[in-house]
Amino acid sequence: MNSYQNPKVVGAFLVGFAIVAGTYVYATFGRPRLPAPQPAAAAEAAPPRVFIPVSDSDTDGVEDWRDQFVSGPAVTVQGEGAQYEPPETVTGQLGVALIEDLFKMKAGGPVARTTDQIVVGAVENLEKTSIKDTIYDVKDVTIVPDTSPEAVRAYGNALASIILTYNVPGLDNELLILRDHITSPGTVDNSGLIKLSAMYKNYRDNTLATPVPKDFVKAHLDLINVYNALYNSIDAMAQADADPVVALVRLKRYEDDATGLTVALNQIYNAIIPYASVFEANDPAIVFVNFYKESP
Amino acid sequence: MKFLQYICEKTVFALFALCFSFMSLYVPQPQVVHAGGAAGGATEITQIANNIILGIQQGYQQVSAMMNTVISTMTSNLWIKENILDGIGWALAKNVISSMTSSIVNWINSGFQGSPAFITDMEGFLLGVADRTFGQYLEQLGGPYSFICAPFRLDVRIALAVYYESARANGSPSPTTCTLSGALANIENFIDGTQSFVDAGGWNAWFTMTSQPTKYTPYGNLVEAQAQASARIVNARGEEVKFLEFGQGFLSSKICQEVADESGSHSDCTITTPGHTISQALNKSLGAGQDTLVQADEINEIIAALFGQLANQAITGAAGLLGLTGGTGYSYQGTPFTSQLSQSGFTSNPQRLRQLMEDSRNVELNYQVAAADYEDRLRAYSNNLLNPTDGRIAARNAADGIPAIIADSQRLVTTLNGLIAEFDAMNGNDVMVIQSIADRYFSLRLHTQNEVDAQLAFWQNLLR
Repeated sequence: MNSYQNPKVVGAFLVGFAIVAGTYVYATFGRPRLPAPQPAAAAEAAPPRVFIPVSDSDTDGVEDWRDQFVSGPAVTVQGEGAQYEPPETVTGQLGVALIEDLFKMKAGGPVARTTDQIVVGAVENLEKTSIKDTIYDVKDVTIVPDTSPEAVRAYGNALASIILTYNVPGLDNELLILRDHITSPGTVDNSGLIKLSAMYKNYRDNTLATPVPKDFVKAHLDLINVYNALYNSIDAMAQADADPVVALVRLKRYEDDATGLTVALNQIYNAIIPYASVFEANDPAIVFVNFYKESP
Repeated sequence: MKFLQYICEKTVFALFALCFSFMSLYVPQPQVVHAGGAAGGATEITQIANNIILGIQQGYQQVSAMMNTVISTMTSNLWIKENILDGIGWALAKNVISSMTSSIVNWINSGFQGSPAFITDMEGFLLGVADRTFGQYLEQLGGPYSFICAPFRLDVRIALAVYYESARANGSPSPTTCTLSGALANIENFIDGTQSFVDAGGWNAWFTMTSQPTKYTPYGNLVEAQAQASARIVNARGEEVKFLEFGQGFLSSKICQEVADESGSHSDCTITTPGHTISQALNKSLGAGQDTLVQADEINEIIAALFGQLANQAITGAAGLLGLTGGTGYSYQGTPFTSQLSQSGFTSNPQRLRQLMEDSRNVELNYQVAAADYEDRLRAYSNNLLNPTDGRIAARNAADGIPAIIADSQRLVTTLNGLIAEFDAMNGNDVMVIQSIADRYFSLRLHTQNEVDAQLAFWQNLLR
């Protein structure tokens, strides 16, 4: 057995050890040390066990601790013999229709629609009633043949004036208002959503009434249809307490509506910018510069 | 060369040591975040508007409400989805469940007011379904692929029909009286027939018959047929058990009912699923014995499936209608849901359904004639060089789209003709057939008269 130790290996080992030890000491130097564990007092008595009181502060039959595990509003059902009012909301009608279809499926046996078909049909119906909007077209607007710079300036200023006149300052984004409203019922009301929906309704109606130079018809109609879509979406959000399923499906298309607003305002900006030289610094139309978005 | 190797070794060692030391000593430091302005800079287009740039900041503040929406899509779609939309969607879905459950239970407690008649006569309706299913099965038994041997196929069908009539009249199937000993006696008669034992197949035939009595004896065939018929009827009544796969926690909610007591009234609540609540209300309303008709799990399942379908459904918003897809246009929306609801109940007045189908067919036929006429006129307008160029282009584009509209309308007319023929061929007022026709009719994307009028007005506007 050769007992010869290579001095280089030994040296490298020692240097390495010194480096590791040194870095360890340096890294932990000055850190507060954990207090040494003290032996537990053998004679110390265990704290008395306290039972959590099983209280029912709202006296509704469900204890307070169980209430914490239930989210969403409580369902209040009428007793037998109560005056029945057929549901007027889409949510209520959807629920009744769903159970009716379930009955039909049971009764129809093998010749009836399947559960999947029932569900797909219900969602398609929801799309028809709650998602699709009226599409405004050329017959709904007044088209003028004049496309002179002065006419464009007047048109741009008219559109911008509508935005500035009916703007509701000081409000959060509609999604933030909706979130606060439905997650903190009773503390945050939906008045902000009502104001915003009214704002978009005013935008839509006044833009519809604005004569449009014939070269701007496409951008003009797109803007109107976006205003209308956002009005419907935010209005559905404002009605989320009474008809939540409409708010839910409108929320599905909200992102697309908001993107549509960006696109539509950008179209207006791009349509007006060739006539920039005729605009003055104090023209209302300068607001459209805010909506410029570089093409991807 | 050795010197070079020595230098390399030392360098590598030193690097290792340095890395090791660095990793041991390095303590991550929190980054100092400096507030910065929005990204962006001058571009050629924005430079054009330099004469009005001073008003930008003021304009931004003035349109703050709408800018919130615009900025949210310009900058942080993902953040909104992750932090706001998902939370709102979840909370709204819970509200939908509560609202739907309340409407359904109130409707059930009202005695199914405004519902189709079959719900209040469920027993009679189910009996009709059972009759239809049994009839179909009896027909199959006589077919070429029936499992019953040909010599006694007719006997079995008659016996089965008599058995079913008896069971139907008594309200429940009576226990079978066809016993194994009876079947064996029948075989003995068969063996004692005109043929000798050997000619009839010998012991092999005897073993075959005795080991498979349900296949080779008329009584065995009858027993088998009875069992299969019962199974099909049970299945037709939908008594198969379905298990809830998911959503139990999501569906749980607090169900409350106002209860009168000495001090006035107070809420009596329980935590449960809508399926359980609705199922309980159904049992109360329909009476004992109906509790297996619709089980709680099935209701939970269909509600959960509805949310699954909603979550997976791709819904196009305004952006899909704008420049991203080529401009605004008409969108045929079909029959509104609310109209469908109000038009239910065709089983009590089937002729109303037929009239609706005829009206729809007339609308489509008139639409085709008018569209063909406008196609000619729009093409003539677009070919006339005296008309404005923009108008000619618009007219040509509109004319190019008309053949597709006519083809779509012709397809609808063909379908409507088929439904009307099926309606006319129906024997009596067959509820299932009427419902089936009504379902298919409402699934069609028909053109309403208003939509047709609007489209014609649009084409007329292009001709001005």
